[in-house]
Amino acid sequence: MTGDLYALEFKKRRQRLLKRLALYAALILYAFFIIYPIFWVGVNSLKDNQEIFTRPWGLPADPKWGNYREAWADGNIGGAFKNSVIVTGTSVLAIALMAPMAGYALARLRFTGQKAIFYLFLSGMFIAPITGLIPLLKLLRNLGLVNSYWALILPNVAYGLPLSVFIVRSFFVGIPKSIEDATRVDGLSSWQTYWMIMLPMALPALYTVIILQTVYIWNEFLFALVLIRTPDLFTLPRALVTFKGTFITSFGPLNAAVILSAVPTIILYSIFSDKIRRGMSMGFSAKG
Amino acid sequence: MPASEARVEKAHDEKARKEKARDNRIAFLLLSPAAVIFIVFFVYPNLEVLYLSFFNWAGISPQKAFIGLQNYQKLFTQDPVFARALLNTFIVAAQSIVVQIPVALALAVALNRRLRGGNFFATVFFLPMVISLVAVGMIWAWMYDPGIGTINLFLRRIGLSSLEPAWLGDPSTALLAVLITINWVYIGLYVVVFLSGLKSIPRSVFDSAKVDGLSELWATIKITVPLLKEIIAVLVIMSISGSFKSFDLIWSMTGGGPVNATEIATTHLYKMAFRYMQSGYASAIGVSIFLICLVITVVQLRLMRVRPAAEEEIQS
Repeated sequence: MTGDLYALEFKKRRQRLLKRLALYAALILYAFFIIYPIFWVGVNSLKDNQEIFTRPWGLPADPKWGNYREAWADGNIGGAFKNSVIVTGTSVLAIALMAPMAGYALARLRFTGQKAIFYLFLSGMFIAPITGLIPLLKLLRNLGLVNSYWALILPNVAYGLPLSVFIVRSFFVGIPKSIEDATRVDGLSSWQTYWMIMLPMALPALYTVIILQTVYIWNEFLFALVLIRTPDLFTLPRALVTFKGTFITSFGPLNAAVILSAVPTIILYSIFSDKIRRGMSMGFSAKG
Repeated sequence: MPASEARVEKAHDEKARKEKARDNRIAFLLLSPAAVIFIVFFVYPNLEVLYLSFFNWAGISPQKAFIGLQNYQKLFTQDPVFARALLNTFIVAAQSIVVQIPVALALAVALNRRLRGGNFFATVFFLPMVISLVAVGMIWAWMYDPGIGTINLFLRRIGLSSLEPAWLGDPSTALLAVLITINWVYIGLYVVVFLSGLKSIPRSVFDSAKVDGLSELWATIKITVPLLKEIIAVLVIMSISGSFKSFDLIWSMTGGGPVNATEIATTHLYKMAFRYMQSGYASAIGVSIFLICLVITVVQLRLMRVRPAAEEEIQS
């Protein structure tokens, strides 16, 4: 009798295990679907054309690290990397400075036109960047800024601000009001209160903004496509497209270029994966 | 109203007004840098596009001719490419809704069970979101390459070489190929959104149906769907607005081709403005996209209940 029960229990457990394995198999299969294309580009970035054609499935027999050198130097990826660093760095810095100021004002102050400004910024999270692109080009041309770093920095800041402002704002909304009352009693002006008390408190939200915008602006393509003309000012996504058009048959360096462009954000993601996931799922409404 | 109460209220108003007056100056100081850049480089272009859409204008030349609503008339009655682009945009949106949302929900429910390696899987699934869409487009163009792409190599290996589609080169398969890539990018994002929603559902709900296998997974999904109604609604809206905003991926994979097979509203706008130099006409496309985004946004804000004084927001 007890033996039967034992056998039954055993059978049940085995069934559970098998079911779990099926579940894991599904998850692993999906993970494979995600990883494989990236892995394959990585593998092919170390092959020459001949090996790509003759041994398509194999790992590189003799890794051609020269592909990376070729992409970096001849494919303009090195120059584009530098441009991406300048454009992303400057834009993120500007956003990091301005977004908390605006976010604080919207969250904690009461002023004329508050509602209008709130909805104006909100609209910025939902409108496609391409709709204003033609007047934007016209405006930048009139300002003599087309084909300069400013042609990318200014629009990137303008389009990056709304989401950033809202992230910081919602953080400020959650801070108890008593803190500001206390600083007022201590005789600090509102201006001092912001810089000395409130901004330091909002650092966690500010870090989220900085990391998110770094990823978004690093990957930005549309402005770079329309507002930059000469290859020496191309950012990485823009340079990749041109590289693809001109080096159409040198597959190794082309794959190396794709990897080079993606490595910085992948590193950032491996360090801050939680912050990036949370921030992007909050703000993905903003980006197509 | 008793006099004393009115007096209290008046005093309260007085205090609020004083507070506002004090805040006005500091708010101006804090807001103006962000507001100036935002208004000049976002608000103004998005308003001027409306004005430009009433002109026949080549973009580079200073001359433009006022033609009223003719651009719109042409756009909605005599432009088969735009019709095709709109259709494709809706296909992209519909596909996101019927494929991405269910798949993401299933993956999220599976991961929500305290599964060993759950965080690892979530991290991997989300990875495509941090890679530029241009790079993604190139990664997948490489997968779809008719000669040396993985997919056709695989078909050849398992003896289906007769199938071997040209994928991005064939109008009948190009859109499908693009949709697969879109799923590759965005399902992970939807998984993360669902996971955050699932966290707010008490554990006890799931205890009745333990997710040990795929069949229980289905049972659990059925329990969670009604509880995640609001998130699903938001994701549906996001799928629609996302399809009207997307540009980079399709541009780098197919450029809207072959023969407009993957044309969407944004690629059509780009070509009209910067290839065929019909900036007035392209502006009309821009305004159309703008209005569609606006309508979607209003619906979405209703769903999310975002208000200026919203006190119940996600902490970052």
